[in-house]
Amino acid sequence: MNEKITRRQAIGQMMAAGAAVAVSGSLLESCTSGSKSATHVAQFETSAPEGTKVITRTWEGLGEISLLGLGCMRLPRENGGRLIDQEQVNTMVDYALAHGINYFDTAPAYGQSEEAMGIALSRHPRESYFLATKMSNFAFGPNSIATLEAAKTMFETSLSRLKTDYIDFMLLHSIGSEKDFSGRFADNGVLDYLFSLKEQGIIKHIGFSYHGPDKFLAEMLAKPYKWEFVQIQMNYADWKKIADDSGDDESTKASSSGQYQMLAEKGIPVVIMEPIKGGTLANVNDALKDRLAARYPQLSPAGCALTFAASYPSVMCTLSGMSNMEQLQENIATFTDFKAFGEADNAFMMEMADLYNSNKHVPCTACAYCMPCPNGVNIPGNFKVYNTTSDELNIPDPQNPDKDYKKKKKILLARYKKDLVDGTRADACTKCNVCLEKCPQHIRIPDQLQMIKDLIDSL
Amino acid sequence: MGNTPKEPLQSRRHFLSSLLEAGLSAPATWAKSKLEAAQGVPGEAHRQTAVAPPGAISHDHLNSLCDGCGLCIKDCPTKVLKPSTSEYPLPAIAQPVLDFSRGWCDYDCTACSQSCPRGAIQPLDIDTKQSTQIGLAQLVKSLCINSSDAPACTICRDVCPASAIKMRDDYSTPLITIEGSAPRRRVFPEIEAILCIGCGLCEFRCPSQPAKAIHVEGLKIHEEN
Repeated sequence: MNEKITRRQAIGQMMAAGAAVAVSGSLLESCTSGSKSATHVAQFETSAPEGTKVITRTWEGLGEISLLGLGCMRLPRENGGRLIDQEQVNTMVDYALAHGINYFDTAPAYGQSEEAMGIALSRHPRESYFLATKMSNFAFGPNSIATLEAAKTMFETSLSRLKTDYIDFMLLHSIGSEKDFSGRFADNGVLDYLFSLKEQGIIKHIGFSYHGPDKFLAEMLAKPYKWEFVQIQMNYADWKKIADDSGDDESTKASSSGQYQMLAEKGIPVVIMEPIKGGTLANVNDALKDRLAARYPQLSPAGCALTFAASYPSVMCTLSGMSNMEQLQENIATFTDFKAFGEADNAFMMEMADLYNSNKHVPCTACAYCMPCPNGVNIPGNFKVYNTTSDELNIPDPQNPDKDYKKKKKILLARYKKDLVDGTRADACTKCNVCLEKCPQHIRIPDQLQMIKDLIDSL
Repeated sequence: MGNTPKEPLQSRRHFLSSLLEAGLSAPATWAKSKLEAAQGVPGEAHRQTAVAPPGAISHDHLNSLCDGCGLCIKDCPTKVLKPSTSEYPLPAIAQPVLDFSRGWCDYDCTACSQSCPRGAIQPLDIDTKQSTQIGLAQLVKSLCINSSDAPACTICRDVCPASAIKMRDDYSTPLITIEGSAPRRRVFPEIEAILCIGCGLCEFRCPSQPAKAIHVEGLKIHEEN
């Protein structure tokens, strides 16, 4: 990670100072010429008017926060490999700040994300952005890191990686059950520790991210702690029911609407994760895409998803895990000329949700918390092959073969065989179940892999 | 040129000059196409790697076993096969090579593999043929009609027998707004390498002038999907 002051960096700082420089695609290209990131920059000017910034909302005690935030779990990689492409992260962060994005959400659990964000953001004045990170003390198995000592180390490491001495928004990472909350935060003194940091001004605001049933969220809100914000999964497809996470009875039901409404009623600002459901709502099938484009010609499918989520008034920030400049530019365009959805739009989006959910999906958001699988299965890869094929309506049905059966079989088998390397396909799953508790979507992973294997075998 | 009758002297001159032209034009055309290839401009001879018929297994396999009998070329129903000149390394000459300016490799055809008496093109059943990747289609966006504001062209996607092409919305450019029409997203074809078998129907049918926007690059060693 190259920190020498370059012409590139100097220009980046100029942009961050809010200079009214028209950031056209060609200017960026000359800034990054010669670097790998040049290939990721748009060739044309985007539809975002020059020099404009994304819409913000102001919250008492919290500040003026951009309605679009950068989620830092899916940062760009070098050559599609494992190392984060620091130059591209720097370019994206500079561009984001120049366009008024001031909320950045990372976590220790996101690999090298905190470090990359520390490098990128520390090139800008600290007061120009809000940093959100998390206490990712997941207590899985015998190597549990749920002790107070481990939490202190984790927090101090976060500060050092982020190159800062305070955190604006600290989240308890991925709460879902009483056992989880008590074990990781209440019973071991970690939550008290975080509140003491708040008293010292090292943490400004405490909240939590949530993956669980609506009922337990109500219980969390009833506890005697001041939660200043809560992060939930919210998108139009999950509005009525968060697939796979949700059971059918009151104690297991999970829905974006249920969770949002609870928070709105209590006046707690909401940070949204998965507004595009891990990117799946950006790549919807043609039927759905045409319907969205007919009604919202100015918006991409991702733009429709973001607008739906962000229009709700209690939303403080909508996090998008943008992985390249095009996505960043596209989303900024949606939020610079933000046209909030009303009731009629929401009703329409519910129709679109039904259309989306009528296709069988494995509700994987490619977060990769399940990886690495001890048996080498490429879990998100298998689900992606299935979901992409399902969205195209290309899943072959050997019981009721239609006229396109041969074509569909060919497509699915080609992808299964070639998109996935030997040894990583669904048939390598041994049902060891190590992945089960890690999935924030509560996907019954071994069962779903079995479903895919059975389908392939039956063709 | 009009139909003005020429005087005998002028018409003989005309005849001689057109003869000269024909004599000169062949090398000139060849030179032009090589120049285009060198500049990276897709033209008639832009293909960098030749495309061998399915069943040939690999260029080496074909080149070592083919004796140039020409039966496959004779039997090819779409006339995509032609005798090679410099497409394969010397001394291979007059061996079957696909030229998508002449035709395409039909999805339901195995004629050449059935006619080869030498095993240079192995016989294939239709399922194997449809899984044999002889090349990969590539797009040059700047040559694609979709780079202009003309109505969207989806011909390559429409004709692809392997469903290997999808139209992708391009969000890096603004909506196309033309007086009298609703604003629309620019779209470009996106080729899924895993599904493309290099049959060349996309290239054959691409209406772009003077150069095809989509063309097939051959695989020296054929693959299976």
